Amino acid sequence: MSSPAAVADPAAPTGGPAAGGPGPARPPRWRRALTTLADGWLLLALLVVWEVWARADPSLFFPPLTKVLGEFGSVYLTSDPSTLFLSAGFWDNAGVSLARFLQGWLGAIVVGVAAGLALGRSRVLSRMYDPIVRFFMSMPKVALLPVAVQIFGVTDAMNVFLIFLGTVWIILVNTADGIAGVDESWVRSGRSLRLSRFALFTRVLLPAAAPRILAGIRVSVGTALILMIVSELYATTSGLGYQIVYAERTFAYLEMWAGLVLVALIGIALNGAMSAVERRLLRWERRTGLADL
Amino acid sequence: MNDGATAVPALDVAGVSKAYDTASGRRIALSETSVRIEAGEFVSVVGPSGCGKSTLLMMMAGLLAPSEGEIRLDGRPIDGPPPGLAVVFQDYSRSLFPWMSVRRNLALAAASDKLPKEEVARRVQHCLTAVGLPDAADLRPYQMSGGMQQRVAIARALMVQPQVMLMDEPFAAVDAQTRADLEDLVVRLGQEFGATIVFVTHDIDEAVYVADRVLVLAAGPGRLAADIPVDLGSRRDQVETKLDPEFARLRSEVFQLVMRPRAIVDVPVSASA
Amino acid sequence: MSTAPAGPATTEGRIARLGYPVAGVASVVAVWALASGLGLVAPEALPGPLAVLAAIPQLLGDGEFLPELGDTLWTWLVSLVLTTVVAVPVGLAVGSVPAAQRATMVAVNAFRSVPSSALIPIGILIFGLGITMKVALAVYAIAWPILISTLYGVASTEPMRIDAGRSMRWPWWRRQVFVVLPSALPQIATGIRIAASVALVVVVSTELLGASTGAGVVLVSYQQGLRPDVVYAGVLLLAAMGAIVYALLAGLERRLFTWVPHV
Repeated sequence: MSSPAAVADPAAPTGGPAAGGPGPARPPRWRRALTTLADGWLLLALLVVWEVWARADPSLFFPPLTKVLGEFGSVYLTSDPSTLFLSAGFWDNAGVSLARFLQGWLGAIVVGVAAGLALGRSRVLSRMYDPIVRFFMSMPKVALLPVAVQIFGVTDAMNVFLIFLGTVWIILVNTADGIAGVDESWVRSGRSLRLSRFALFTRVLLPAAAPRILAGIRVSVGTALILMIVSELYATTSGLGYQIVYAERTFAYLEMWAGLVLVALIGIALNGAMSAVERRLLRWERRTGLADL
Repeated sequence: MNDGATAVPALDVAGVSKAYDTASGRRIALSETSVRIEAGEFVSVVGPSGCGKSTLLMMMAGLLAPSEGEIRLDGRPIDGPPPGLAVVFQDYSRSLFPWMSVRRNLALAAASDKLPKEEVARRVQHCLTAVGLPDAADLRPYQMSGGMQQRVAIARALMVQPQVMLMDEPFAAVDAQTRADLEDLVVRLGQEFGATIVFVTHDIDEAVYVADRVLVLAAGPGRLAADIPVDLGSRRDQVETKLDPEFARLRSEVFQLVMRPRAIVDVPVSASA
Repeated sequence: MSTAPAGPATTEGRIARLGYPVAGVASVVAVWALASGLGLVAPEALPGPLAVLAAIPQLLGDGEFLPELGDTLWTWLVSLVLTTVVAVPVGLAVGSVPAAQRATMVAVNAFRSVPSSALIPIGILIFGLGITMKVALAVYAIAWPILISTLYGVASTEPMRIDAGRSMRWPWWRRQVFVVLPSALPQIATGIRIAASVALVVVVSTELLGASTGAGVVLVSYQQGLRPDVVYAGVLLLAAMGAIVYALLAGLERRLFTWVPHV
């Protein structure tokens, strides 16, 4: 493994300011939640700046935050608990978008990890396909958007195709690098236990490569969201991106900003969920201090 | 040892060499080595760095194929990790799997035996008790000290009910006090479980203390330099055994064997370099 | 994934080293040619490799694509440099004030979770269709990864090295410049490398969605002219550009940070 790390998400939970060693006992959960809340002061301050700025210098295109939130509430929130307080407008737009996101992204994870395993374990395959895969990884996949529309027309398949194609390479490369970089001692240890090939993959190689694989998947969340929105802005008749561009074209700027807030919240939720999964799966890595290796 | 030379040896190393191709040419790690290790023997292997002692062990484990010669376990040639043989590696943090609990680490060792669940659970408890960690099953490796982790690694090796146990500098990474405890543990387990043990170490005291027989390897290229029987009886004690004049004599004999070749061979080479 | 040990420098070894990638590329092109030759994919969806190859000189020679590609590259470079010049010092400053670190992380994590492409319509409204809009959106997209990697880089500074600086009675600025910055640089470089590919995606996105200049604009017009072969040729050229830039940055990193073990 002489190649530089293809992706190491700078925000991956490895040895950063937040990485805790096997140090003193952690404070209780509510206490930590409170600390996190208190750490939101800068975010809050920036949002206040938005509000003040927009009020001081009124512009049709740049409304104050409170007005945007009011619009958001009236468009996407209802008082009906049966739909989790979310309106039909929410489910119509966010539901469609998220379905596209999940199909493309999960497909990319399945294909990317499987192909990455093959490339990571086979010297011949990796020598043959490494250059091509890296070529595809550095391609700005969004440029394929016009072609995707040509192939699939304005269908969900077009969005799914673009999301898949845009994320599969980075997952593949990280899986392959992660697998190829698994400490040989672990493999030797597994072999000495006479594990079957399958068990060696599932019990040793995959968990050992998990930090790297998850780093790739985490980066891919952001890329998938970007592509989901771009493809919906470019040509669709439904979804979050469509909602934004439709509001823009009908000069409903408040509604456009409300759509943006919804996209932001979904992005934050997805990234937060991803971090939680990562933390949960990689507890061992943070504790053993192997994170920095 | 007691069965005499007529029986099939537990491990029969016959004319084994190992060479690697490196960027600067072919390097011989071990040349033309033959050893017979009888069932139930405790053999330690010492030698200066680069004498091929770990290479020899990895070939016995079936993790490395010899370039020439053959190693037989109970008369059967080794080609890949054989059943009934367990390895304890030097670096416990990289041989135990930190993503699994101690219980699952141990159970994994018995995975290829296809045992019923209850039998595996029973065996896990038995092996943990044997290494003095009866309550550790639900811990994770990273929650334990280095010495405890190496005990778990030994327990994992016991899981396969090994006839032969190979240990590659197992205590190199633990502190001196823990090390003494672990040495005694291994001696006791060797006797209790009746396993043949091959114990690689770079510590001469340790090599003499634990073993029935010390193999001294020499470097450049790696080869067998001496084969010294250790006659200290089956009971070993950190204080008494180490005060035994025989222990002192053996340790200085091994020490000279390990150090001498270097004094003679290395000095002119490095002077000309 | 790369082939680690350089074998003996014989002709045979060199052929083997080159042979594998060539065989890999050949196999992909063969599948492509088969799929389009046998009519498994419609020619307007995926033209054959020869057609796409033939379209490359046409695209390069049409007098329009190259300047627009230059425009894309320029926009991309400006965004990258601008963001780096601002985000890295901010990251270093924030990183040296422990009280600000966590709050910054919370804010940054919130902002970076917003897919930058959702801002394109707003960017167009506020900044118009020119380069300002493209740069603004690209800067938004990559400011966060660069800032985060700077923060993490600063946080990963070996405390003992800072103490070593202290013991030599170095003033604060000296410790920052000679200890903290060099420790953080490899992580910063990684952040910039990731940011580079994100920026390119965002710039091309704006070009597809209405910006008045750039390679993406040309591709859209060829698409509307029903010339998928030329579009594919353009995509391949963009990919080549992306790959070259990525390789350059990665090579630079390896050169500059020889002390960092590359996993």
